[in-house]
Amino acid sequence: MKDFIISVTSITYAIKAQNALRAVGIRANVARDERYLQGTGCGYSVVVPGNVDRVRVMDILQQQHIKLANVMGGERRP
Amino acid sequence: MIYLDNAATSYPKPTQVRTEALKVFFSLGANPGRGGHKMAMDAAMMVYSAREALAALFSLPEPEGVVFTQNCTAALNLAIKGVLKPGDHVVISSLEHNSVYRPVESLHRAGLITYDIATVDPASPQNTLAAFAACMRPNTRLVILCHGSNVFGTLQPAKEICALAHEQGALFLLDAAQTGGVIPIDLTVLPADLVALALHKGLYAPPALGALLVNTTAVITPLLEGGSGNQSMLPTMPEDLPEHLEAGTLPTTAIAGLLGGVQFVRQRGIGAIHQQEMRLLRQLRDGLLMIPKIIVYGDPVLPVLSFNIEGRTGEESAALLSEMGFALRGGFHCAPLAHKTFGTQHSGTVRVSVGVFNTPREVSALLDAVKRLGPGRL
Repeated sequence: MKDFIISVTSITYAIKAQNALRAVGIRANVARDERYLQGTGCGYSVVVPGNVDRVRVMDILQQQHIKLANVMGGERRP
Repeated sequence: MIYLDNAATSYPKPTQVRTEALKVFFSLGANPGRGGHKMAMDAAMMVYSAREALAALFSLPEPEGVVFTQNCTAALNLAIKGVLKPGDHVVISSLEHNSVYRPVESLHRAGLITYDIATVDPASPQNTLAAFAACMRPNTRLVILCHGSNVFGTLQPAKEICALAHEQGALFLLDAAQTGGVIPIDLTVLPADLVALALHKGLYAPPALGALLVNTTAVITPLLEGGSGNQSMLPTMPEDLPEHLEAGTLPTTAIAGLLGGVQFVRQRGIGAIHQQEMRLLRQLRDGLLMIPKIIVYGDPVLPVLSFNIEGRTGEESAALLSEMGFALRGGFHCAPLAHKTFGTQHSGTVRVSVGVFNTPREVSALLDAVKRLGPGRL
């Protein structure tokens, strides 16, 4: 199953996102991510399995006031 | 040596603090947020846990609002210089520490701001509030309050002064150096915009560690700029908290220790610790009042008490008591405004600040030493 990758602007947001998703039983892992922030430099992402409801994930992150830099589906786990 | 200088920094630290801090040397030694390898990630997770723990303790809505600083002074400077713009007006209290007084005075001398000092009436919160109200101006941008006096152990009416600031469109900065972890501070009840903390005092972190709790969307300009571990190709600091205000490597050993300190405070309970410390302080105050030629200042509600021995300056008394085995703080405690408010600007005072690990026997020993010392010849 392909993962989708949620790029965020900081390690703090990445860990916050990971914890928020794990708190509701969604597998999520922080990863270093430079691909989607090439214009601005180093960043972090949260990698979520592709079979998880993407809308639900986005809702959870929005409720947590997590700023997203990019969301990419269909990407394989780095 | 009997340590009674906990208002400077708490000592000894609880076992949990040492246990957590040591983890940095054994398994969390990497630089948090500065790489993708496991140890850097684990260190970043630890730092985030500390942000969460602090946010929860103070009911701060978002953990990213916890900005770690070198100490409380750095947090206050960041808040003051990061918020104020040319033409702004500031109100401070007459009990402020130099960590507020000096940066405000410095901005004033540079011709950037104006400010007024509201006189605190330790006996009347109403009078204190009225003094603040009288200082407010249309361009007042920031109201700063020393929550608890580091010299006299008084507690100021923060909730009411915060409401006054907000009613008049100003931000409210709470200097909680002496109250963070010592008494409950709930930002849903006392909605300060900014709270400066000395985490190595009431929360038992190793020195030196402070924090600025950011409970506002107001823009704060960084004082330090540099590496943030993210968005590295940008020529400016990233916009998001906490990285916006945290340039450079974080003090992970102290932050890990803080986790142990918060754990200790939660296990014991802030209220229970405070009651225990205040029992010791009352024992001390009652005992001092029984000794001739002793002047005790005020009736503290925090575990900090100032006194003098007739004929001796505070500095002299503290030095003599140091020779007798007591760690006290004499002099002016970096708080000239507070000493002027209490009329001790010429003598200074001896400050005793008890902690959770002090005992009634230690307080009795100090009282015996003060008796033996007797008055001086000034």
